[in-house]
Parts: sequence; C-alpha cells; structure tokens
Amino acid sequence: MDTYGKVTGPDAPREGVQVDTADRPATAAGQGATTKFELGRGLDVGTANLASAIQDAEGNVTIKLQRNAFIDIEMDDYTRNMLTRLNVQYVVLDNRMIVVGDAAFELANIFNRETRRPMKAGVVSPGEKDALPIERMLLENLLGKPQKEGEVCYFSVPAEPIDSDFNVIYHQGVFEGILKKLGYHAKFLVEGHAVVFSELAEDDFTGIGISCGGGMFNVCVAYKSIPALSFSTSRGGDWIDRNVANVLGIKASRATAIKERGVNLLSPRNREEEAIEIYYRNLIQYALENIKSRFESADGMPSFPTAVDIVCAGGTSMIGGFVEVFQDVFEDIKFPIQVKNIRRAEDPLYSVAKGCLVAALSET
Amino acid sequence: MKEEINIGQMIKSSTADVSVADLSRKGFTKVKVLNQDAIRRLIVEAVERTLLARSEEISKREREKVIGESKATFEHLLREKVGEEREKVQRTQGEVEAHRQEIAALKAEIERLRVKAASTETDRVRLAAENESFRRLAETTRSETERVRAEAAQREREAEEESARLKEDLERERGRGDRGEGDAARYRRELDEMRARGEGELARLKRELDEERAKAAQQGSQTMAELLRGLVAEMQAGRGTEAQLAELGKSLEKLHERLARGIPAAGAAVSGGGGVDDPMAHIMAALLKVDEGVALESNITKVTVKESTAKKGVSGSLEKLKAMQKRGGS
Ligand SMILES: Nc1ncnc2c1ncn2[C@@H]1O[C@H](COP(=O)(O)OP(=O)(O)OP(=O)(O)O)[C@@H](O)[C@H]1O
Ligand SMILES: [Mg+2]
Repeated sequence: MDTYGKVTGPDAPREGVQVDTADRPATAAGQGATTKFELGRGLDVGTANLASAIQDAEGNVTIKLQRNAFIDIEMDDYTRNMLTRLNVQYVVLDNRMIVVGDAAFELANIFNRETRRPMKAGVVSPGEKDALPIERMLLENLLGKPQKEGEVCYFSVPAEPIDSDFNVIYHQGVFEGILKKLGYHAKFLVEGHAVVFSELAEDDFTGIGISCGGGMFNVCVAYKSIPALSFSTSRGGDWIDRNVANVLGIKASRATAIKERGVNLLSPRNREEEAIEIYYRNLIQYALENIKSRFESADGMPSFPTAVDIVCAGGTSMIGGFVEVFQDVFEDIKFPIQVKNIRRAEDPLYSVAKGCLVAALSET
Repeated sequence: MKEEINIGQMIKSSTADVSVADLSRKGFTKVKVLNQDAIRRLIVEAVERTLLARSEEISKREREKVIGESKATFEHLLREKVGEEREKVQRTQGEVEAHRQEIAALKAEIERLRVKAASTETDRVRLAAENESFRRLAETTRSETERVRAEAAQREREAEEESARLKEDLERERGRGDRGEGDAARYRRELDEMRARGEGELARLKRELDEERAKAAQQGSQTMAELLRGLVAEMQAGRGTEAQLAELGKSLEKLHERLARGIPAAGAAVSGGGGVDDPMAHIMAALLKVDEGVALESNITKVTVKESTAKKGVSGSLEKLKAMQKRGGS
C-alpha cells in the first residue's frame, strides 16, 4: 500500500487561469489563480534538463521542466512574431535570436543542427560564453519571483567526479548567484542526496540513491538520511547520444530524439536501437564498475546491518528495460554491499527536484 | 413442443361438408383450400411467441434479484476491507512507536558521546579557525586554477572548431571533385594539398594547446604547492603569535596581489573596491553583464512553460524527515 504522498491522475486540474494578481508572484501564473503554494522550492540543475518543484496546500507537487539547451537563428520580424505566436521563447543576444528550452531541441531536430548547451558533464561549461545569460533566463522562467523575499530554494549540485577532475565551486557559485539575484535564499544539495530524500523514506532514508542523468551518474550512500559517501561518474545520456550519433553519422540531438522516443533495451527493433542498446549496456557497466571500486577504496563505508535498496532516478533510467539491464550487469560484478532490491524511482525525471523540495520544505 | 390438441378432430367438428356441385350452383367458381398442416404451423407459432414474451419477463425479474444479491455481497466485502485497512494502520502505529523507542536509546548514546567530546571542544575550535583560513586560501587558489583551466578548455574548443572547419572544407572540396569527372586528377591534387595544409594547421594548434595546458597545469600546481608549503610552515611555527599572524596576513596579501595581476578585465570590471580575489566577484560580474546588456529583448514572460503534476507527492518523505530531525536533534 502506498502510505506516502498523493497520487494525482494525468487529468488533474492544473489548467488554471493565467492572470497575474497582486498577491501572487508572476511564476504562479499558469499554476491556477486559486492555487496556494507552500513556501520553499526545489530546483534540479542538470546538464540536460532544468526542473523546478513546488507544493500546493493539498500536497500536489507541480513540476516545470525545460531542456537546458538553446539554438540561435536569424533575426527578423516575421520570425519574432511567429515564435511568440507558437509559444516559443526567445531572447535577443548580440543581435542574434536565441531560442531556449524544449523549443530549441525541436528546432535543432527540424533544421538538422545541434543544440548549444550551457552545461557539460554536470557543470556549467566554461567554453560556452552565452551560458550564464541563458541559464539565468531559463531559471527566471522556471521559478519566477519568490513568493516572499528570501524564500528558500534548494538546488542540486553534482558530487565530485571520480573519473575526471574538476571541482564544482565555480558552478555552484554561478547558480547561487543567479538565484540570489532572483531574490531567493539559495542553498545547495548534492544530487544523489536529493534522490535519497525523495525515494528512500520508507527505508528510513537508508540505502543507495543514483541519479542517472544526461551528463553524469550521481551516487549517494546514506544512513538514516545522512550521506556517508557521495560521488559522481562523468558519463550519462549525452555520452550515449554522442556515440550513437557517431556510428550512425547523425547529429547528437537526433540521437537523443530517437533514444527518448520509446526504446526497449530488451528488444531493439532496428539498427539505431541496437546502437543505443550497446552503448547503454556499456554505460551501465562503466558506472557500476566505478561505483564498485570507489566503494572498495572508501574509508568509513557504513556496513549496513541489513541489505539495502538501490534506487535509480534521472532521465537516463527511463528507457525500457533499464532496471533489467542494470540487474544483469550488477549480477556479474561482485558488489561490496549487500543489496536487496534494485528499482526505478516513481517519477525518475522529477526525483531530484522533489528531493530538493523536501529539503526546502523541511526547513519551514 | 408437444402438440396436445388434435387439430384434425377440431377441424372436423367445427366445419360442414359442402359438395362442389352445390358450390358451383351457388355461383362459386374458385375456392381457397387451407390444409391441415398450415393451420397447425400457425397455431404453434402463436403459442411460441406468447411463451417467449413471457420468458423475457421472467428473466428480467431474475436479473434484478441477482443484482440485489451482488450489491449485498459487495457491501459486505467493502466493510471487511475497511476493517483490514484499519488494522494495518494500527499495526503501523505500533511499529512507529517501536522505532521511537529505538531512537530514544540512540539519542541517549549520542548525548553520552557528546559530553565526552565536549572536553576536546576547545582544541577543536582553535583547529577549526586554522582550518577556515586554510580553506579560504585553498578556494582562492582553486578558483584561479579553474580560470586558467577554463582558458585552456576554450582554446581546445577553438582548436576543435578549427579542425572541424578544415574537415568541412575538405569534404566540400571532395564533393566538388566527385562532380567534375574530367578534372578529377586536378581536384585530387588540390585535395591532397589542402589536407596537408589542414593537418599542418591542426598539428600547430595541437602543439599550442599542449603548451598552454602544460603552462596552466604548472601554474596551478605551483600556487597550490606554495600555498601548502606556507601553510605547513605556519602550522609548524605553532600557536599563532602576533608576529606569525601578521606574517600570514602579509603572505595572503601577496597572493591577492599576484592573483589581481593575473586576472584581467572581468575582475577589474566589477570590483571597484578591490576584492578581485573573490571567485564570487567574477561570477557576479558575468551576471551583471547580463543585466547591463542593452535591456535584453525577449518574449520570455509572454510564454508559459508546460507543467505537470508529479505522480507521487513529497508529503510522506517530508513528514518522515521532519520526525527524524526532531527526534535526532533534541
Ligand atoms: N524516455 C527516455 N528514455 C531514455 N532516455 C531519456 C528519456 N527521457 C530523458 N532521457 C535522457 O535522460 C537524460 C536527462 O536526464 P536528467 O534530466 O535526469 O539529467 P540532468 O539532470 O539534466 O543531467 P545531470 O544530472 O547529469 O547533470 C538525457 O540524456 C535524456 O536524453
Ligand atoms: Mg541530474
């Protein structure tokens, strides 16, 4: 029996009237004029997606999701009008029209181009000079103004990677800065820890949370809600897309679209899907081997009194057959921790944002 | 269906025989003949129809009865189920109580440890202060290393773009070569030349990049090494006399100076009042640029992002976490 949370059907009323009233922040427009929201936000800052979470008085969690991507197109009046009419967001930067978010991804696929990405492998990309203004705009759009000055917003940051070297201080500072400017009290939460918060309540927040993202896999081992060990490996869905694109001679954005269209790893139907299956297996193998060796080298690894669960979240875990392949690879590896169940989060794509929301709400 | 009426007999007893001659005298030239079988069929059909109508009425009554009975059964099951759920809830409450007790015991243990730890607290505070100044220094250096690294990455990207451009040129040339068959040889020669040129260029860029990388790495590790050496010396020198603190301050200032010299435009643009060493300053500068950037034109406020409702809310997790925090913290 599901003791926690409230299940809301896909047709739950969230059409809402889109008006700005004086006592409601601009953000809540589109979330229904009558809805009242709790103070506190969760924000998943991801290589592939940005997601915000907020809870209403009935306990429903509303998620806004945007691709963390953009594309520039030629500027003219026609395009400008057309984009607004099509509900497509753009911004003019240095005399170029920049389309952001989901629409950028769709346009890239139509025009057979690549999207540009403000983040790479988990952190803000130092080589992408337009990254900061774009990120700021996307966040402004996802979060809007705080409901109250200084409203707490927890945002996710990746843990230190074990297979490449960068640190997250700059990245963290960028997002802290953006959120501060928007009027939030910004606090960060390590991504894997957020998964523990949203998925492991029934096990007293004890177990292993893995966020399988676009840029990385983020792992957190927690005991009674306290993170004992957090780290990341820097390959994710993007790595699959790049490799598939390479062998098939197509754009990576195209590979992403094929992958997200509903592939089952256990029964690929054509050459493209076979390529996806091969790289998926490879990616899972890579992540699990890294996790294993990190565990074996860790000091102070908690020896859990009983076997624990592994919960996989993140968009990369959404593909058909993911858990089965994960289990398959897992069985071939001598894993140093006793594991009871391997399962997928209920809302894989929203799990991190929800975990951040839990952290924010627990402070009020 | 059984036939219980003798139709032949009935016909005989209720009809009169008339001879054909009589009929013709009376002026009848044609007679309709109804045979006994046809009559029998008509009667059977009438009876069957009547029976069918009646049986429909019966099955309707039957149905209503069955529905009534099912409803009663269902209501009974429902009552049973509710009872079960209630029991489950009670059981869960019992478990929660057990957990609460377990945690109380753990809390007592923690308290005991805390008392024990308090005696070393004074030492810890001093160490923490030392640690903090180390951390600040390390962060400053790290951000500097980060910047240098970012520059190297930028250069690498440029090199990659350059090489991609060259490759594209080559591809284009190759395409042209395919079209003009007569000039194939000439094109091939040109192509080879271009490739050679491209590879030369690529090699040069790679070399530059490697040099840059080496420089960046060295710079990073140098500052870090110096920092560590200084810090170790500081630690060994002992418990922070006035003179030593002043010394530490001076070396900090030196480090700031060096960083300030190393960081061009971005830092200078923001700081106004010093503070170039602050990594946050760089970030805020970049963000500030966004604000100043000729009032960005955008339709972003006119467009709404699509929303969805999470399948599962967070209230369960939240309650559990809050409860754990409360029990663990007091
Ligand atoms: N239905 C799907 N099937 C397969 N892959 C999917 C699906 N939906 C999304 N993805 C992939 O999931 C990845 C994005 O997941 P997610 O949003 O969790 O990552 P992120 O948080 O943005 O990245 P990171 O945490 O690594 O910084 C992308 O690679 C995307 O292509
Ligand atoms: Mg993520």
